[in-house]
Amino acid sequence: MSVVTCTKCGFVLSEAMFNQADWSHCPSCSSPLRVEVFPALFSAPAPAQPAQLLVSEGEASCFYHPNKKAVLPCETCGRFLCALCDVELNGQHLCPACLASGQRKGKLSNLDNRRVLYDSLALTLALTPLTVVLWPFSLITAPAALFIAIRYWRAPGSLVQRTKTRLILAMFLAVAQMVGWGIGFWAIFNS
Amino acid sequence: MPRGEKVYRRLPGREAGFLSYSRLWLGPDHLLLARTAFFSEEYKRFYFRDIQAIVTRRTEHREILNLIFAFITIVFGVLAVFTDSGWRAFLLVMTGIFVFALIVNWLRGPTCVCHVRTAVQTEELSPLKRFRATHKLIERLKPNIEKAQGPLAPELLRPKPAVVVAAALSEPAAQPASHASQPSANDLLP
Repeated sequence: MSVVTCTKCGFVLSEAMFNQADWSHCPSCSSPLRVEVFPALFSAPAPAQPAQLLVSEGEASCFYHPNKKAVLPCETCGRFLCALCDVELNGQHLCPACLASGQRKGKLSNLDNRRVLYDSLALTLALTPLTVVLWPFSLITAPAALFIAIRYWRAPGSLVQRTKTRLILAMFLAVAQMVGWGIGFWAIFNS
Repeated sequence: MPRGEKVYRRLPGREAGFLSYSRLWLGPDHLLLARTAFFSEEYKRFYFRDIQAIVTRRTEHREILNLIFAFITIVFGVLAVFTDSGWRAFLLVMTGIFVFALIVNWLRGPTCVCHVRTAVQTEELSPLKRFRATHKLIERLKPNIEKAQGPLAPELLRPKPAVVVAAALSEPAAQPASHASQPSANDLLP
């Protein structure tokens, strides 16, 4: 069983403090605490399944460990895997290579720990020159914003906000600024 | 997943910093902590099946902030009373702003720090600064966690003898990064 400690002083808290309706106080530092515990606190971690050795000639073997018995195929590449190589993710059974490849290519969103927000970048580039002082920079930032919006249109954006509103707005503003510059240059050269 | 379907639902609480902010989101099988800074977003997932405990500690930030606001309000108020020039309007406006801030801070309720504990880590949920938001979040998480782990047997919450706790202490336990000190087993034994 694991123990729960006070988040201020690290003192081990007793079960009497768990799931109380009101505040309890840490016996060591007297901090008011509310501790909600769940069954996972009391359950022992599940033991890892050992990979079994091949016992007869006709048995399928693991792609990565030829002397180990295959228990299932990888759902992406179809390679046979032993219990050691089988990685379960969201109910899918994958081999380590597919897992690494999926993470690298951003196909497994549950493994994504970081994403670049190209939509925010494009919108910032398109909006910044709209201020009075920075407007001459739009000669550079507007094409840059348009490029980013087009180049990363299909790139995975934020995990939690799925609309393309920022990209569309950035494209609209960038095009408007570029048209403005075009009209300006045309007027200068024609006068 | 059907196109357009929302995977994550926004949860209460938000922490804002300099060009950055953190938010909590409710996923299908996990709680997601998203930290946005400049043009990138970082994620931490806490799967419902792994969450062992949620520890909320009340802090005194609200009272401290109220004292600061009250002090500034008094200073501006006194200056406004004893000033006759055009500055009076400015000082009255400033007094009003700080009175408003004081009321808002008071109405938002007690402040707290919330940590989520799994078998391998204890992580602060930084967007949760107010107890009201924390309570709402726990109430929303509870059914999901119970669905993943099953209900908690009441006998598990009965106090155990100190020897059992001391034995449990000998196992490696996840600790908050900022707290290196761990009470020894001797502290718990009679």
